[in-house]
Amino acid sequence: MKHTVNIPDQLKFRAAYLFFVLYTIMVGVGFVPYPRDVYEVAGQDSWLIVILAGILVHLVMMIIIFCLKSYGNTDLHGILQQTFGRWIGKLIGYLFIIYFFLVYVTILMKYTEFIRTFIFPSIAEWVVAALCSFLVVYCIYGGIRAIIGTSFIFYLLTFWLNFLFFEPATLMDFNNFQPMFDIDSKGVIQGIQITAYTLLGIEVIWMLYPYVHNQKRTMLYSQLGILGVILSLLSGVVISIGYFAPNQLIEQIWPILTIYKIISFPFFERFDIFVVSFWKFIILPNLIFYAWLITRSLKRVNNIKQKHSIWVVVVLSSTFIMFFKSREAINQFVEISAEIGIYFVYVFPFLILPFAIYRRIRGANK
Amino acid sequence: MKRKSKQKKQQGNLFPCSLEDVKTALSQSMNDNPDFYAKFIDISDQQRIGFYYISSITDDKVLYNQIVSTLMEAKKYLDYKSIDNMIPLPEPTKEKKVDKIDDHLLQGAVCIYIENETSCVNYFIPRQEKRPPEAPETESLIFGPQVAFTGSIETNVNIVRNMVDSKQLKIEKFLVGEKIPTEVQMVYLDDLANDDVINEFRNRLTGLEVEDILNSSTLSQKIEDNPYSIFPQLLVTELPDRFTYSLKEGKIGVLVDNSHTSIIGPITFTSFFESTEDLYSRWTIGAFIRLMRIMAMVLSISMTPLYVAALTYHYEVIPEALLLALGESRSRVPFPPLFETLLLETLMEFIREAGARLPTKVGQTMGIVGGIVVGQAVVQAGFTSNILIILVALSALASFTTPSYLMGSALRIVRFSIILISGVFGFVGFFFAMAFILIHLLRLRSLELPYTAPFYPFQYKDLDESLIRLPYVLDRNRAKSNLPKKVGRNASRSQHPIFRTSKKDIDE
Repeated sequence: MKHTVNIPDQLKFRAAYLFFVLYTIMVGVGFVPYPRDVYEVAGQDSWLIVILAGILVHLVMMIIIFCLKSYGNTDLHGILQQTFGRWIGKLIGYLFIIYFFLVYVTILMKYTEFIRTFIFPSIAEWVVAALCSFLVVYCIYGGIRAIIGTSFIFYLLTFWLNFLFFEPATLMDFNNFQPMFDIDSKGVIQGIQITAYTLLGIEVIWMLYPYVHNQKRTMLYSQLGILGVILSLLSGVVISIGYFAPNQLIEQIWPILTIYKIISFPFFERFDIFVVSFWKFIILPNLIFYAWLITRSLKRVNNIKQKHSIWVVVVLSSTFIMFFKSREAINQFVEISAEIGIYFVYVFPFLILPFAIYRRIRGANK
Repeated sequence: MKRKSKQKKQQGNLFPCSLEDVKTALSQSMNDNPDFYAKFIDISDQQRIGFYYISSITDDKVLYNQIVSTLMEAKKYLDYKSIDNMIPLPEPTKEKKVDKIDDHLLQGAVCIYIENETSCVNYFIPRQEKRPPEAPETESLIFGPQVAFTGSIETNVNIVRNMVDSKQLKIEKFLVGEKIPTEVQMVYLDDLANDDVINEFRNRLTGLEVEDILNSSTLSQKIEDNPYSIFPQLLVTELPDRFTYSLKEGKIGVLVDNSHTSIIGPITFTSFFESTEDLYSRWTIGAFIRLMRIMAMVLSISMTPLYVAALTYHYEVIPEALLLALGESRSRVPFPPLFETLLLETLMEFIREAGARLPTKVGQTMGIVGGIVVGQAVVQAGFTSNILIILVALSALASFTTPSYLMGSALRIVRFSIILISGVFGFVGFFFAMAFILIHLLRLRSLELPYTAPFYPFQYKDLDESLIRLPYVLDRNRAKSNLPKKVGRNASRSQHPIFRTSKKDIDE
C-alpha cells in the first residue's frame, strides 16, 4: 500500500463542504433521545455539559487535523502504517473497520427501532435494512462526488426542521433551569461521556482529508461544522429542559419527537409522524458515510474493490440486525459500540499526537 | 477472370468511357430506380455531354434553365473549365471514380460528364420541399417570437444566423448514421463555449455508431450520458429563441436535418423548468412564474402519493375537520386508497394520450368527455372520492406547467412509482422514493457536467439563472456551471439611469 494518497483533481471537493459533511454525519438518531439521557445524570445543568463536551470535540478535531497536516497528503491508514509499521498498522486498520461497521449497524438498528415504535410496529428488520441498503449502495456507486452531494443536499432539505423549535421555545419555563451549576464532578464526567457518544462522527476527517481541494481551510470548516452541530444539540437540550416539567423529561424516551408533537398545520396534524419518516433524510448521510468509510478503508488496507465490498457490508449488516430483537439487547449493543467509539474517536488522536509532533520536529531539523 | 475485371471496373476507374457506360454503371448502383435520369446532348460532332441526376431530389428548374440550356447554346468545344465559367453555380466537385458519384447524386447533385474524359463534375442543386417557419405548437409562448424550427436544416440555420449576427458563431457539420447518413450541425459561439465541452459533444456525435437516426430526439437519446435514466439529460426544443439564448449563455446547440427540434447541452435539472417566457416578462413575474413551476413540479409528484400514504397508514396526521370531509367522500368507495388512486391516475393518462393522438377537433371533445363526464360518473358511481379527483386533476395540471414536454412526461412516470411505493410503505416509502430520486439526480451528468449544477456543486451566483430571475440591472454574469470562457456579460452597470445619478441625498 502506498502511504501517500493521490486523488485525481476532478474527485476533490472544496473544503467548505466539510461543514455539511460533519454536520450530516454527526447529527443522527442519537439526537432524539439525547436530552433525556443527559438530563438523567446532569439535571438542569445539561446545557453546561453540552458546552464542555463541545469544547472537547473541538479540541480533538484540532489534534486530528494537526496530525493529518504533519503527515502530509495521506489518510488514517497511511498514518497508521507509517507510525506502527506494516503489520500493526494493518491490525489497527482492521479494528477501525470493525468499529465503523459497528456504528453502521447501530444506526440501522436505531432507525429500525424508531420506525417500529412510531409507524409500523411489526415491520420486519430486513425490510427497513433493504430500503436503506439500496440507497446506500446506489449512492456509494456514484462515487465521492455523489456522497458529498447527498450530504449537502440532505442538509439543505432537513435544515428547516430547526425552525420548528421556535414554537416550543416560546413555551419554555426558565424556572426549570434553576438552581444553576448544581452538579458534581461525577455528573460532569458521566454527562460528557454521554454527549461524546452522541457526537461520534468526526473520525470521517481521517479518511476524507486527501479529498479536500484547499486543504489549508480544512481546520476552519470542520470546526464550523462541529460548532453547528453543538449549537443544534444545545438548542435541543435547552428547549427540552425548558419545555418539559423536570419529572416529565425523564419519562420521555424520545423527547425531541415529543416536542414536535405540538406542531400542527391546518392540513397536517401530528407532525412527529412526518418527522420520523423524514428522519430518513438525516439517517441516510450517516449510513452512506460509514459505508464509505468501511469500503474505502478496506480498499486502502487490503486493496479490495469498493464495488464488491459495499455488497458485503449491506448484506452483513442486514443479517446482523436480525439478531437483536428486544429494546434491551439493542440498547446494550449500542452502549457497547458507543464505548468502543470513545476510544477510537477521542483517545486515538492523542495516541498519534506524539508521533506527529516528533515528525514535525524532525522535519524542522532537516 | 472476366467477371473479376468487370467488378474492378465498376468499383474503380471506369473513365474514360462512353456516356451509356456511365449510365448503366450508375443505374446499377442505384438499383435501377425509376427516378434516376440520364440526358445526353450533342455539343458538336466530336463532343457529347451526359447529365445524370435523380429527378425527385434535384431542382429541375435550375437544371434545365441554368445548366442544360446554357451548355446547349455553347456551340464550341467544351472542357470542364469552360463549363464552370458558363454555369452560375458554386464550385463543383470533381470525381474520378464512379462509386463516389452516387453519394453525390443522393444528396441532390447533377453529374456532368464529357464523353471520353477521365473525370466528371458534380453540381449540387438539391430540391427540398420547405415549409415556412410556423408558430411553435408544443412549447407555446405568450411573448417572444412566434416562430419554431422547421424540418429543413437550411431554414433552421438561416433562422439561427439571423438571430445571432456574430462572426463568433461557429458551425460544424457532421454526417451521422452509417447506412443512411443524416446531416447534423453543431452550433456554438466560439468565444464563449468551453473547449472541453465542445470536444465532448463532438466526440459523442462523431463516435456514434448507428445505422441511421430518426430525428433530433432519437439522436439526443443516443448520445446522453445515462441512457437508462428516466430524466432527459439534453434539452430538446423547437424554439429558436431558446436555442440562441442558450448559445449566448455559452452552451452548445445541435441542429439535425429533417427534424423540427434542436438539441441543447450541457443542461441542468432546472433548465427544464425555465422558459424564455421568464426572460420576456418583467423580472417580478418571471421570478414568480419560475418558482411556481418548481413548486408545481414538487406538488405534482408528491400530492397523490401523500394522499395514498396518509389514507392507508397515517390517518392521524389528517386534521379532524379535513378527516370528516375525507371520510364522508370516501365512505362509498369500496377500494383501498392505492387502487383508487392508480385507477384515477390511469384514467387521467388515458385522457391525455387520447387527446394527444386524436386530431385537434376531436381531441377537444375527447377532453371534455373524458374529463367532465367520466370524472363525474366515477364519483357518482362511488369508485373514487371527490377529494382525490381534485388532487389528481391538480397534479396533472401541475405536471403540464413544465415547459419541456419530455420532463413533464418523465415526472408523471416518477409519480406513478412514488404512488406505488407510498401505498406499500406509507411515508417511509415516500421519503425513500424522494431520497432515491435525489441521489439519482446527484449521480446524473450532462456532457460530463453535473446535472444538479447550481445546487451541487453550489454556485450561489448561478441561482439567478436557474431558480429565480433577477432584474437585468443586477444580472451581469452568465451561469458559471456550464463553464463559459467569459463569465461577465460586459454590461457596465454605471450607465443605467438609477446608478448614474449624482444625488447625495433624497431631493437634492
